[in-house]
Amino acid sequence: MKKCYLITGASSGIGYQISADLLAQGHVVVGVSRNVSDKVRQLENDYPDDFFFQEKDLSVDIDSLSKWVVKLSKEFGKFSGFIHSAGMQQILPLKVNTHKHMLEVFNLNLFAGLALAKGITDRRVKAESSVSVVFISSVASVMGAPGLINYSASKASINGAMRSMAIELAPLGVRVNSVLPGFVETEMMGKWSDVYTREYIDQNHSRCPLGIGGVDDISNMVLFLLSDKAKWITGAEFKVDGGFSLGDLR
Amino acid sequence: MKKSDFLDELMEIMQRDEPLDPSDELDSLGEWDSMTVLGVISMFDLEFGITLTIDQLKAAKTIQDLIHLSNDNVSN
Repeated sequence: MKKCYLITGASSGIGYQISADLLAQGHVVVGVSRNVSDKVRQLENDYPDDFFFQEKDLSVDIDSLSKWVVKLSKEFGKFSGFIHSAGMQQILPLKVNTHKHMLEVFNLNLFAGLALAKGITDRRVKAESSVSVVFISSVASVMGAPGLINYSASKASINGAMRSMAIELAPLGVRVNSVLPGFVETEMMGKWSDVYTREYIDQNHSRCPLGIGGVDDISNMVLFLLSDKAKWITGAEFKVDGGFSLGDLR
Repeated sequence: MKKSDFLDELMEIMQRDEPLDPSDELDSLGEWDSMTVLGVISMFDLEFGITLTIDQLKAAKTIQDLIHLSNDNVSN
């Protein structure tokens, strides 16, 4: 059955992969990102009737986002799911951290996601059948790393919000979960080589028992959570990290 | 708060596009459910500093009754 999904961060990385995979399954995707990419243009060409891209900065005018989703629904149909994959990773030591930097990360990683989830679960927007909301969190929400204070805090906040949301929305037939990716080859990972030493990066890579992951590894889990196969799953965190968070002490 | 703003805010809480009228009976509105009740309690607290009780809300039959509960914080 053809369903309609809203995906943030759709122009690259995990968000792009989820979009591509849902489209390949025959669904409709409304993809949102601050910038359009060549890959997005390709999706528009490949799926002219099913892929609709919205260029939008989600970190501003956050209170307007839920009403914006109501408008999207009137244009594209009722939504069966929402994936908040948009996020920024800021590598910043505590001694140079400021409220402005904190807000930059939280506005996009958390607050925009909550506002959009509010819109998706609006009775005018959500599909009559069950609805699934998936937040792309991070293993950084449960593990520490230097320079990731704001990022880790924002991702941990997602997990906390997700649990309360899952309880509040269960009576409406809405399931809410978060996926915690580990080291995955994305454009965001490229930033690491600009900031951390090769030794530090190699050390982290060697701590992944199953090696570095691909965006398809995350997309597979998200697609499962969106599907009816996950109909009894809500309020859960799923680490998809190749065993990174097991903490091998060797 | 003006009555029109109150009705707009109530529409927002109920997530409906159709306009509301003070004479509307709450039980006749499909959107009048437990989460809406929670939303109205929050609205009264944040906007008017009034803590509504469940009993007060159970006794309210129409939107006009809700306006009465605002203790003159909603005007024409």
